[in-house]
Amino acid sequence: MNQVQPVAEIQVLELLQAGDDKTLKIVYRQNYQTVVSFILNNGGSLQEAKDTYQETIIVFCEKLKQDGFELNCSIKTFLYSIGRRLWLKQLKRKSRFTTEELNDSEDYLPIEEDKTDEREEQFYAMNQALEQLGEPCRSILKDFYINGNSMEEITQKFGYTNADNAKNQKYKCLKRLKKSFFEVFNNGIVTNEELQRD
Amino acid sequence: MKNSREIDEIIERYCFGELTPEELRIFEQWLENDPQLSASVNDFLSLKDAFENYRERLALKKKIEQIHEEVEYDLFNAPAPLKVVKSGKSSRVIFGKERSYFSIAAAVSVFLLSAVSLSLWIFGSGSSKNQNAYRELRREVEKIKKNQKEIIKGINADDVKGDLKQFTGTGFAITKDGYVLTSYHVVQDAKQIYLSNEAVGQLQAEVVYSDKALDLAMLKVKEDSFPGFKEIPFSIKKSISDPGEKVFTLGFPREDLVFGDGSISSYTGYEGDTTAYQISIPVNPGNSGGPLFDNQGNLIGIISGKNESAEGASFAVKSKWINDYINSRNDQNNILLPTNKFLVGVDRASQIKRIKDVVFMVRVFN
Repeated sequence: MNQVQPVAEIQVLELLQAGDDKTLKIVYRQNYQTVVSFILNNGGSLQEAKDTYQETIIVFCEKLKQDGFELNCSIKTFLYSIGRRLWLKQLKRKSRFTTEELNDSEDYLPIEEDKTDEREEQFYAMNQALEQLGEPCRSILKDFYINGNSMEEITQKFGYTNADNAKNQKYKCLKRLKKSFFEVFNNGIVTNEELQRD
Repeated sequence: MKNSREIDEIIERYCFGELTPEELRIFEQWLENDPQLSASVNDFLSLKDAFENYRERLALKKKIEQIHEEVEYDLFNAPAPLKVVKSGKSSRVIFGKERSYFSIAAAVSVFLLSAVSLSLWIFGSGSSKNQNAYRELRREVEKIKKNQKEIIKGINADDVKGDLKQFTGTGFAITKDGYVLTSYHVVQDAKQIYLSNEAVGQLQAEVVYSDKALDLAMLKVKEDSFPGFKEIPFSIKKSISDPGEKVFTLGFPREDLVFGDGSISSYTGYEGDTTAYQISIPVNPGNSGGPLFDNQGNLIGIISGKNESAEGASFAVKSKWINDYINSRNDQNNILLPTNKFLVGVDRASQIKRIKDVVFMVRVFN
């Protein structure tokens, strides 16, 4: 049998930075309980916990890819800190203000605001805006701007009599999306300062 | 003057770089003189950026959701430590513990050993330390045991030559029409397989399919005038049971059926094997392939082996895997898994009375 040894986490980070999915799977599996338990212990449902954990992993992956990324704590602590912060934000968004202290099971680090925050807010706002739209707007816009389908395909798929009708519909939809996207995006940003103002 | 839809279209085409050089020239002039237009362009660029980000994140989310599905089962187990297998220059991270083939090797080496007395343990002769720790529990029987010779003679004297080796294990019926589950290592390399118990006497069986890694084998009774078993009294549990739950097994560590009980000790088996439980039932050679039931009499596993270096640590393959495995093979053999609940709310002795007719000693001749 091969000799089995523990690895320095730096090696794990290198593998992750190289986009090694198998390592990501291990990291995902190993830290799931820690982050999910935290959320469950702080007013989250299992679904919310799972979603937030997956968001945590995404943020982690994005941070890894930033230039000059350096980790000065264990991956576990880092993920816990990211997950904790994301959940705090989520609580703010839902205005579930609690006077109680958060139930922490791990030590955590303050996570600095960076570009990943903006991207996360952007995603959140886009998701909310699309949700609010309703059909067929949501599908039309998703097909065109996200899945890259052509106007002809959309005309056919949604049964418009001609491309101009479809275009007109898309234009109206985009207008509505734009309005709600900026509404959420401009009001939704939760800064570190706000997070600390409990 | 253009209407607002037309203006928005031009902005969009500008942002996607689709304007003709002529249009672009006019548009840029216009942009310089109209701060409102410039603001609209910036808005659209933000929106475009948000769409791209949304697409990227969605793809990442999809990937992570897929990872989640792949490891979902393991998430209910204690996390295994991160390990790296050093093999030459490159190192490779492995995912938890993978079931090694040492157990197969152990069984093969058993085959090489000559006479071992009836009550003795079977020792593997491999060099690995681990090889000795995990003990599969099929029982080797001396070929010259008188009573067995008689049985052999009675059934198929011509086929069974003097030099054949005999092993025994346990198996149990999962359908009325003759499908029987046992451990792979019980029937590996089998030339002939016989099932026996009080209710059915002796029946010849053959392997329908088997899986080394899961240590499972599906047998089918191979008798011309087989009347069928009694109704299978239990159902197979599809979810995972928790440590602390009381469990029991029936098996043939000797010529007669033996009951053993204990509890689930761990979500994982030998060396963190996630396909198995650790249980605290004292088991012996011959118990391999025996059914493991919970208090309600649901089948929750199959006894597969024990840890030699730790007292009272036995292992059983989880029924979730058994269920999944059988279903995955159902394209060829449509096996309807039992769903009866005859054992729920019945006391242990009555449960055993109903189960014992569908639990067999599996005799294997190599």
